[in-house]
Amino acid sequence: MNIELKNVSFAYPENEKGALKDINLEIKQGEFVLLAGSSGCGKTTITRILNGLVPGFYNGKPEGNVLLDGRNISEYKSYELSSRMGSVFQNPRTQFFNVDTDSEITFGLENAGIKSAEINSVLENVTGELGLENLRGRDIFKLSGGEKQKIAFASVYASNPEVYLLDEPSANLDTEGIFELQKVLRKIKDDGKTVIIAEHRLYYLTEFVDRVIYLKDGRIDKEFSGTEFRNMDSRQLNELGLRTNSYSKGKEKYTKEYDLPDERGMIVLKNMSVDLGGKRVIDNLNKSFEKGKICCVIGKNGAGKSTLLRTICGLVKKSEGSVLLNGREASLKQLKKSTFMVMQDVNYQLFADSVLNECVLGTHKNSIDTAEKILDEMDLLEFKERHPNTLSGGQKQRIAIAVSLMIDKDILLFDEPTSGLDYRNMHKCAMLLKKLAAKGKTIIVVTHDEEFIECCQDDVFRLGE
Amino acid sequence: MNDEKKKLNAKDLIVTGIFAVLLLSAAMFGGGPFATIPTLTFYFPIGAAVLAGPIFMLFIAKVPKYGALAIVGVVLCTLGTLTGMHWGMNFGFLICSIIASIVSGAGHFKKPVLNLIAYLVYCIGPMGTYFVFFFNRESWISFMLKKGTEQEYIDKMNDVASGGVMLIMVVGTLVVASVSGLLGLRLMKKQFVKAGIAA
Amino acid sequence: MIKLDPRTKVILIFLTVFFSIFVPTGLFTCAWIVLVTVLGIMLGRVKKTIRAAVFFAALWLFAIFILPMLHGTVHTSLLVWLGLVFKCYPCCMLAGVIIGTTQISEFMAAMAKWNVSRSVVMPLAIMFRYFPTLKEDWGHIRDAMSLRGISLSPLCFLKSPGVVIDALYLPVLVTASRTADELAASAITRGIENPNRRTSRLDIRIKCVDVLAILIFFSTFFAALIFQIGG
Repeated sequence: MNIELKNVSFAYPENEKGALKDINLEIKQGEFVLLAGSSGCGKTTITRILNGLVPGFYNGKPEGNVLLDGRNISEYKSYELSSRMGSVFQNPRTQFFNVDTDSEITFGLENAGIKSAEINSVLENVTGELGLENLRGRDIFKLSGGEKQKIAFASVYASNPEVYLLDEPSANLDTEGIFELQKVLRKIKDDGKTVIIAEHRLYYLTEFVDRVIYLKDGRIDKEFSGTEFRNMDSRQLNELGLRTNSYSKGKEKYTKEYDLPDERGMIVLKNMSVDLGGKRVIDNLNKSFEKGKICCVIGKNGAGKSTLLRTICGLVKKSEGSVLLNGREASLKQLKKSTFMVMQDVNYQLFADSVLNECVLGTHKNSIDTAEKILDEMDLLEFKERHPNTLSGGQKQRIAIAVSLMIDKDILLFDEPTSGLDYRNMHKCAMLLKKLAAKGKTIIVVTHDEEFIECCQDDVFRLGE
Repeated sequence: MNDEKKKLNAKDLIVTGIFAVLLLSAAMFGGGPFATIPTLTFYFPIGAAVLAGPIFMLFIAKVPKYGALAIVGVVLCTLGTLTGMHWGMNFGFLICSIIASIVSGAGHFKKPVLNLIAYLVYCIGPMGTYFVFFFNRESWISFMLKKGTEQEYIDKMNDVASGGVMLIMVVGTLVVASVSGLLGLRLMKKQFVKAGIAA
Repeated sequence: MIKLDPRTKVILIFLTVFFSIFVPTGLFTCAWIVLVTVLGIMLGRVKKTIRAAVFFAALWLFAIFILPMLHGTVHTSLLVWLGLVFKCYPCCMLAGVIIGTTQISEFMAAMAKWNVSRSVVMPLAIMFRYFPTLKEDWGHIRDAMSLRGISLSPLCFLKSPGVVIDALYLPVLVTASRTADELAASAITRGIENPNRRTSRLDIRIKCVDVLAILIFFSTFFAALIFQIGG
C-alpha cells in the first residue's frame, strides 16, 4: 500500500506536545521507515494518524490529506483499517485483551468474523513462522515483557496487514527482549511489509532502516537514507538528540560479587538470600554498595533485580544472611527510613495535586523554600503549580527524585530509570545521578540500558547467572 | 451537543469494564471484613459504600452517557450470578444502577447533587440480599431451629433480623455513602480534573 | 472426565439460583451440594471440589448438632451468618467449579452464540482481564506508599487523612485510566468495532452430556419444588 501525507497538521486539544505542522511524506510498499526525534516531536502522532486513532480516538481535527493507495483515510472505518494497518504499542502490559496467548493471537480474526477452521490454520501458521511454539496456551500474565510484545506482534501478524505501525515497541523491554523483537522485525521486512516505527532506541533497527524521518517540533526537519544513517557516528546522533545506532555491550568491567564484601560500604549484603512465595529468588549474595558511587545492576529477566531493590528498601524480608546499613544489621524499618526508590512506573508514586505539594507532602510546613530550591535544581521550578500527572515521563521521574531529596534519604534506588526516555532525557538523568552521587548519596540503579551505563558507571554488577 | 444520547463506543465499554472492576473491588475491600464476621453481616452494605465514592464520580465524568451505569449494573449482576453471589444483591445492583443512571442523567451527568444522589441509590444495591433475608427469614434458618417452643421460635425470628438492625443498615449506608460521595466530588475538583483523567 | 459447553454451565448456574430462591434451606440443599460435587469431580476439578464439599458438611453438622447448644447473641449472630452461608453455598461452589474449568475465550464465544449484546460481553471480558492487572498495580501502589512512610493503618489515617486518601485514589485511578485508554487503542486497531458477528477459534456445541447434566439438575430442582409444596 502506498501511503501519502499531504500538508498534514494536527494538534491535541488539551496538550501542546505531539502536534504536527505541515507534514508531507510519501511511503511506498515495503519500505522500512524510522520516525526519530525527541519526546513530544510528533512521531507517535504520525502513527496514530495512520492507524486512525487520530481523530477516531484522540480528539482534535487533522488538516490536510492522508491517502492510502490514493483513497482518503477518512473513508475507512476503524475495522477496515485494522485489517490493513497493524499497530503495536509501547506498553506490553496494557495491549492484550485476553488472558491466554492463543486467544490473543486470534483476537483480530475473531473480531473480523473469520470461520473457526480458518482461524485455527492461521494460528498454526503464525506460531510456526514466528517461532512461538513455546508460548502457545500460556497465561499472558506470567510472560516476560519481551514475550508479551512478541504475542502482540503475533496478534497483528495473524491479520496479515500490509503496513506495521510501531510505537516505541522496545520501551519496556530488556536487551534480550529487544533482540527477540529484532528477529520478528527481520521476518516482517523479509515478507515485504511496510514498517513505520517511532522509536528512541535505535541500535536494533539499524540494519533494517531504509529511511529516517527526523522530526523536530512537529515538522520534518531532516531526512536520511538508510546508508547515511548507518554511517552516522554517535556524536552526530547525539547532537540531534538521538541515541546510538550500534549495540555496544559496554566494557566488560562487571564486578563479580565479593567473597568478602567491604564492610565499610553504606549497604552491605552478606550471604543474603530472599524467598518470594516459596521460591528462592536471590541466593547467597555478597555485595557492598558504597557511599558516593553509582552502581548499575544488570541481569537477565527473572534474575531478581527488582527483588534486590525491594529488599534494600525494606519492602521484602530477607530469609537468610544479613543486610548491613552503616556496618550494622538493619531492620526493615531502618532500611525504609534511609532509602527511597524511584519505580519504573513513577505514576504509582505521585499523588499530590501539584508539583510543589508533592514535594512538601508529609514534611514540615516551612519547607516550601527548600522545596523550591530542589525543584530549581531538577529543572522543574516553572512547573511547580502543574499537576504531576500532566508532565512528561522524564519530568515525573525528576519529581520523584525531588521527593527523595526532600525527605533526605541517603540511599537512592532506581528501577529502569531510562525506559522510554529519549537521548536528552537519558543524558540528563545520568548527569543528575552523578551529581547526587557527588553529594554523597549511595545510588543503585537497575538497568539494561547500555548507553546509560556507559554514561554514568562507577560499578556494574551482574546479578545471577 | 447531545453527547449523552450517543451510543456507547468501544472505548466507553472498555472504561466501563475497568471501572466495574474498581467499583466491585472497592465494595469487597470495604465490605468484605463485615460479611465474614457473623455479628456484623448485616453491615456489609455500609462497608461496601465506604470506598467507592471517588471511583463512582470519576466514572460518571469519564462516560457521561445514559446506559453506562446501567451496563455496570448488568455486568455486576451477571458477574455476581456467575461467581455465586446471592441473587438479592445481584438484582439489587442491577436495579439500583439503572435508577442511578437515570438520576445522574437528569442533570446531564454534570450536577454534583444529582451525582451524589445517584451514588446513594447505587449503594442501596448490596442491601438486596438482606431485604430478601428480612422478608424470607423462615425459609433460610428454620431448619436450624426445630427444637424449642413456639414462643422461643418467634422470639428468635424477631431477634435475627429486627427492624432496628435493618434501620441501622439503611441509615448507616446512606450516611457513609454521602461522606464517600462528597469525598468523590472533592477529589474530582481537587485532583482528577487537574490531572487530566476526568475526560 | 467430561467437557461441558459454557452455555450449559450458565444454565446450571441459573438453575442453582432458582433453587436457592424457591427452595428453603434443608435436606435438598445437601442433595444439591452432592450434585455439584459430582459435577466438579467429573469436570476434572477433584481436590478443590472435595475440599469445598467437606467444608460444607462440617458447617452443616455444626449447625445441626452444636449450634442448638449455644445461647444468646452468639447463637443469634451465628444463626444469621449460617443462614446466609447455606443460601449462597450451592451457587458459590458451582461458580468455583465453573470458573475453574472454563476459559474466558470459550465463555465469550458461547455468549456470542447466544447473541448476547456486545455492550455486555465486552465489559465482562475486560473485567476478567483487568482483575489480575489491578492486583499487580495494587502491589506497586502499596510499595510506593510504604516508601513515603504512608500506610493504610488507622493510626496513619488519623494523622493525615488527606494524604492517605490522595495516595490511595490518585495512583489507582490514574493507572486505571491509562490502562483503559491503552487497552481501547489496541482493541480498536485490531478491529473490535467490526459489526460482523464475532467468531471463535474454539468449536462450541451442545452435546448429549450437556443435555443430561441439565436434565439431572432440573429434575432435582423439580423434585425439591414438588416436595416443598407437598410437604
